[in-house]
Amino acid sequence: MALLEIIGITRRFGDFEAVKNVSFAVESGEFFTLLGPSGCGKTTILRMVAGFDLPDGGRILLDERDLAATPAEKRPIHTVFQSYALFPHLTVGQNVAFPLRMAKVAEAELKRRVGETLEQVHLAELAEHYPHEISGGQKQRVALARGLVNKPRLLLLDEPLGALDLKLREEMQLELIKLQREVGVTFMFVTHAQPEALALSHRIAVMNQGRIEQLDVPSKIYGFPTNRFVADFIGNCNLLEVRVVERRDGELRLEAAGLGKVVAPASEAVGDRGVLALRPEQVRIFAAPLEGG
Amino acid sequence: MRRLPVWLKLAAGFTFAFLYLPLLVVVVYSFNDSRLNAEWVGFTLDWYRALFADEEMQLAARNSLFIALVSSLCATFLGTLAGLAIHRYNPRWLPLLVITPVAMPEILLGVSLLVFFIQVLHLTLGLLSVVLAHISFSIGFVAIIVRARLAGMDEGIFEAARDLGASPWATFRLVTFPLILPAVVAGFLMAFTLSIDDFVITFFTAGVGVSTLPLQIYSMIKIAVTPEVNAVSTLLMLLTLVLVIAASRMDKSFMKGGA
Ligand SMILES: Nc1ncnc2c1ncn2[C@@H]1O[C@H](COP(=O)(O)OP(=O)(O)O)[C@@H](O)[C@H]1O
Ligand SMILES: [Mg+2]
Repeated sequence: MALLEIIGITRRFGDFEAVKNVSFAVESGEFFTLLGPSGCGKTTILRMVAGFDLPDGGRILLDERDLAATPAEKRPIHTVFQSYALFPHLTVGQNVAFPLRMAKVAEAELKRRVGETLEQVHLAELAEHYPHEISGGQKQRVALARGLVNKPRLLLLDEPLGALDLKLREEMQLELIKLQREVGVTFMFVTHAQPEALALSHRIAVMNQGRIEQLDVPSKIYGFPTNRFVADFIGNCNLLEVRVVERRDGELRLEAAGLGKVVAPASEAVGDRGVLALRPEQVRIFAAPLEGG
Repeated sequence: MRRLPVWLKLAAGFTFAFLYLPLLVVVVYSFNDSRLNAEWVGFTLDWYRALFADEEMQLAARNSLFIALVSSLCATFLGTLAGLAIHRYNPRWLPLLVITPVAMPEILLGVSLLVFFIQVLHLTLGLLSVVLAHISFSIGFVAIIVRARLAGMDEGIFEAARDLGASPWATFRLVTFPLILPAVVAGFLMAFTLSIDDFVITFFTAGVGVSTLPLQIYSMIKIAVTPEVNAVSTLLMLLTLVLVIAASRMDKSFMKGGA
């Protein structure tokens, strides 16, 4: 059974529909990503899952129980905010201890778990420091540690790497994957950066204007985009209008205006016109005409 | 840094002189060994000694401190709630309602409170009426300072607290309150300063029995500006200065103009 089930949720702000009848399920232990351009409704979905906002229609189930009547503080779901949202008046250690205190974990156990989690994110030496005394990358780790320490059923991460510079971001990507394996918490990750999504996720839901355009594993999203938007958004490709010339088993022979003949590794084609997404690294160019065509 | 032109420096110099010279004169004459505020004779602490021997002055000082303490504590409590409410619910009318008394001419406030206490509440004027009056004009200041502090904070941290399992009350106790505490203390100090210095509203609401330091000073200068008046004014100035500096130390946003 899926850990989280989103069934046809809709969210309207006045006349504007930010989330339009979205459904998907997140499996336990999964690294699930919502990918889409800024403003497509990713944060709005996260906020409804976290409990800061309510859908206007549809249901959200966690472990098969409807969350509608459960306030944010009672949901076993924690969030890593893009702004980190660390408590400025508490030390790193106290920040990480916060969810444990709220859960009334006994002092000895609390100390042990805070220490253990800080160890995992390599921050043990900074436990006594205040948020304003540490770097952006370190704040990011504190936010992660704070979200993970009480072992939520689901951890929501809203563009958590967005504020980091490129080098740090790549470093943190690796750590995120490692950390998620280590603690076994299900991640629901939000980003607008497709390389990040492709590198990290088990499955990706590509969103556009409040809808999911395609939901699949990264290799499928990259290799077999189901529509023009996904192909374009995932990037690094040329979109060409093509005409289907011939169908063979597992291959389509296409003709693209001004380019000549192309063989594509696909078997199905609806109709005989379409758009071909060409990724530069997958293109072979032949001087001789193709055999038989 | 750009260098300021000379005329600007001069203008600033004159302004500060205009503001602070009269105060300086009072301070200097409070140590002058002469009954007359005319020429410098010599240094003495006699006027301060006289002050501390003056029964009426003692009583007025005690009243002032009592009124300031009680009214600023109440105003801090209510003003903090108002600041929180303005920030949280952002209703259009509440900021106006809270801040208007701050901008209202004191004489208007004094007269209307007087009428209200006597004709509506049938209250005998005294300590209680003064305390109530002071609370009413201090709330706005506290609310402005608290709200300014809240406006400067990342809204995310309150959501983070809830997200991590804190009930609304726990969020207030463990996150909101510790974070606004400097503003609350600054608001308290500000309310205290306003109360202890207030003349006009106190004058209308004190009735005959009760005197405070400003009222006492006023009644003394009706006869003459004695060195004793200089001495008590100096002390009052010193206290105000300390409170204002303490308040600005507590809360930086307060120095930046609050609202
Ligand atoms: N509280 C709100 N009131 C009005 N419009 C909102 C509100 N929250 C989000 N929106 C709108 O909904 C859309 C989706 O926002 P959001 O979920 O934050 O996008 P994303 O996280 O994908 O960048 C945006 O157009 C945004 O302007
Ligand atoms: Mg967002």
